Amino acid sequence: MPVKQPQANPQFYKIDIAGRIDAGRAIWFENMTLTIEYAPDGLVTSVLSGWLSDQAALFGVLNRIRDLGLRLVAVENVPISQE
Amino acid sequence: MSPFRGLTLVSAPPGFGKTTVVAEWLQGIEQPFGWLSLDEDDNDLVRFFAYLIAALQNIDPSIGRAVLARLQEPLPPVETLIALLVNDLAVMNQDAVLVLDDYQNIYLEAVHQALALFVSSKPANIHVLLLTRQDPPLPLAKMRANGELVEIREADLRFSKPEATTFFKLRLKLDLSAEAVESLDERLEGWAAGLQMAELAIQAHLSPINPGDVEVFIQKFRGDDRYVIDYLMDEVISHQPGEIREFLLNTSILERLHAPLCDRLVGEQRITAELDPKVAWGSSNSILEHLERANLFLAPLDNKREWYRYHHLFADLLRYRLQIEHPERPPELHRCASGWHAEHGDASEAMKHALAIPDYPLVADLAEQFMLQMTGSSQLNTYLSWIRRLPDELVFQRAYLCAGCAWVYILTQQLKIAERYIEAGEAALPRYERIYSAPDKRWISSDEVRGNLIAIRSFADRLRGDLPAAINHAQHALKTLPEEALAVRCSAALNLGMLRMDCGELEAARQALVQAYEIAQKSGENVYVAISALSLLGGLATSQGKLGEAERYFQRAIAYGSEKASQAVPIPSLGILHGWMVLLHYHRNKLRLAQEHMEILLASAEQFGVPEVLIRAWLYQALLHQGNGDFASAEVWLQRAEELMQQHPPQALVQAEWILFRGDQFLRGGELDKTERLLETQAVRQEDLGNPPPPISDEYRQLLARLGAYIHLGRLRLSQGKTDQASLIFDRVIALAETGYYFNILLEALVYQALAMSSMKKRMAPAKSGVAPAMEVLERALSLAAPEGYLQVFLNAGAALTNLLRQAIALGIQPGFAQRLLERLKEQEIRQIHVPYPHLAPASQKTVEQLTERERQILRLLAAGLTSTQAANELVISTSTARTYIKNLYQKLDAHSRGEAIDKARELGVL
Repeated sequence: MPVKQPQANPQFYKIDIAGRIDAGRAIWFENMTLTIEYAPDGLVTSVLSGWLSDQAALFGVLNRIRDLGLRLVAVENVPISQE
Repeated sequence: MSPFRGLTLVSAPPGFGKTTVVAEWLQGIEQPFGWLSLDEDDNDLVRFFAYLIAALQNIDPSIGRAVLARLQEPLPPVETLIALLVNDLAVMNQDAVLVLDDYQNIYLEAVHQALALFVSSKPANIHVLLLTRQDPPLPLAKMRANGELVEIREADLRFSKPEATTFFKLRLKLDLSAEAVESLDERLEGWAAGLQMAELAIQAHLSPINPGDVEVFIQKFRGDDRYVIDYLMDEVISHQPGEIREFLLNTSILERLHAPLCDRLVGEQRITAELDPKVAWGSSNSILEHLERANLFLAPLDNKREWYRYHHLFADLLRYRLQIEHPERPPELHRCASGWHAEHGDASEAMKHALAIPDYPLVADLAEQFMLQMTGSSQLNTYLSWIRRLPDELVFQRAYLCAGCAWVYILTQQLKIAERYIEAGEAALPRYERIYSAPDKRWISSDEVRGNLIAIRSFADRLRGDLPAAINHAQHALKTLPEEALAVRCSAALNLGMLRMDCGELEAARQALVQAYEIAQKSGENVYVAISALSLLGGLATSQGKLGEAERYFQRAIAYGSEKASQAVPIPSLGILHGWMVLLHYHRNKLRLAQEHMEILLASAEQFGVPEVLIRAWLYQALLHQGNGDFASAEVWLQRAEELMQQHPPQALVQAEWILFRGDQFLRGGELDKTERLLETQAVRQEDLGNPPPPISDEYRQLLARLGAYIHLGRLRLSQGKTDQASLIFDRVIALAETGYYFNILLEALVYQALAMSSMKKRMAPAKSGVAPAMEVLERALSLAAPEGYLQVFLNAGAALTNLLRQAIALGIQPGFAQRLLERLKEQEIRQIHVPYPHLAPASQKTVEQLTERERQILRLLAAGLTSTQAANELVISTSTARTYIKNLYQKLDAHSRGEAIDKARELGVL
């Protein structure tokens, strides 16, 4: 088996999805963490956050969001460095 | 439906009913349509085109045959494939629809490019609909600006509030309160999948005992903040009976559902989950019918209700749930599905499930089981994509798999890699036990594996140019391979036959080729081998001067190929067979029969557009015109072929044929300077013959392949009056042709040698006693030619032969055949076909034909000192046309240069 090379430059991403999705869903998203945010106006947002190894991984997650019929609200590349 | 040059794009997220809307629209129109659902595997140009054509053939079965045939060979540029396809569509006189569904699965740039090209060049009667979850990388903005894009998007597909109300009313047969519909719609926002899911959830809550439940459900639904589909899925799934639930989860891993396949998956799970065997639903068949009736996101894929698929979104959600609830199940389910497909001969689906796990030992097992099927067909690329996924350590342990890899690499000419696998296979051979070949329904013995490896060695030797080793290995392979290994045995025998031919061992070659044909015919599947063997046998017979035998082989090959071609796709090599028939009839001067095969060759060559075949077809067309004495038409075809040859330099054999036809054109047109230059640039030199290279060397084979050109050299010298030199050349050519059964060349050289010698005799004092040497040579030529009716070579030599033939008749040498030749020559003379070697022809036969007005005009211009180009400009005709006139002029005036022509014209008072 070809061994995956350690990624040189993983990035931290925060992805907002409209509505509350099941916590278990996170396993479909490259082990990103799922948190639910409740805005005072009643708006509910599911936030996926975590390290993605590269752009291909990011697009994998975005495609999955698309394929599950979820509504993508925002994608943010958070400038923090990995410990 | 009005003609539309552009594209209709249906672009929306999943669950908006793209497929449903389009499918329903198609039900309501009369035009035929083709539907292609794309998946990730279609990111392969060969596969994409194969499926695209399969879809288009639903509209008209004749579409795309040429493209399919080209997919069996090294892939031509996409432009060529699209052009062939567009040609087919352009002749179709009806409107039709092509639907490409799930286009979001395509990521290969080459497919995008192919599609963009197709859309921009397709005829307007073909309507293309692209269904996708995301906008495709096509030049959409430009198409929009040009009015070439019709778009159906999310907003168009949403249900409006009245539509949603109608939907619930019709589906639930229940009047929901306006408030209830309002609540639902607020959450669903007109999303089709959501509406359908809500309907199912409400169905589940409908109970005659407690009619208020529905309202309760809707209230709860409105108050819940979970993602719509998560909530509804839970509602729908949790209300299904246990068995249906299990069925849905287990079969969610399938792309396509089929009752027996589902039985296997569900049955397997029943045992592991220890469910009650006394089931209410019985077989998967009834469950599938129930799911379809209940609108549980199941769509039939055919009219017979044999194959179904889940709605994508639903399948995704089910798979997700399966992963959450039973993470241990998917590998087992995939294994199960893979096994079912393997048993039913579907290598591709079986492999897809094995790779989804991924279970590499299983992948390796399948690669072994389906090796014969995959390497014997045009699916080398697919096979390659499988074995590339396998780790070398695993492959190297399995001798038969090594053989499979080696076959693929040797057939794709990758010698180095192939040899690595041959060696690994040989090393692993002692550990080989036995393997069941599913498609062949038999066990593969270790002898068969060994035989495979030896046969591949033979191919490798041949690629390396080591013929003796290659022959050795091919023979060894045939001895080692068991009788039942038909596919490998016939390839090995064909290979042996070709190797024998390369070495000039013609009888041994014949035997091997006959064996290859017999095995291939027995298997019934190795059409390519059968046709190649027959074709080579015919070629072999031709080169030995056995035209009758050759004709039988070619005809059998054509019949066999046509029979097989009608079942699947046309076979490009069939065209070449008609090429052989053209030559065969040409030799017998049966030009009309030759022309019949010529038409088929031309049609086939143009259909497939393979440059090499086109070049040959055009060259043969030129040859037939030459045979008919129409040198102007021959010139047109020769030039056409030459233009293509500039872009696509052909292999040596075709190049050698070209020298023959081009040289003949010059020689018979009396263009001696040009002939001289042609032979010079093609390195046809007299000294090559003086010291020929040793037999069974490449140089020797190259010399023999071009031997015909040396006859041209002799004819050139003959025309230049250098008779001694010519005779010497013919002598050498005869000696070389005798060694290798180059019958045509031998015969032609003898004919011209007889001519050369007869003209020497004229100059020298005639020998009084015995038969003249020229007559001895002619006698040999006549007795070789008579049995099989080789007429054309004598007719090409022309009237110069007349005296010799008369003498032959007087001496009782083949009088019947000679008489026939004389009559034909006479006919030819009357038709003014040509007068080559005028200085050798009897003076009484010299006639000056009437010049045409155009020829007179040109002659006057030439006499005035204009060049042919200037003359052409003066008369507003093309230079090449002018040259053709000039050539005719020279012929009629029996002149070889401009000066001579003008002189003779003045002499005769024409000018």
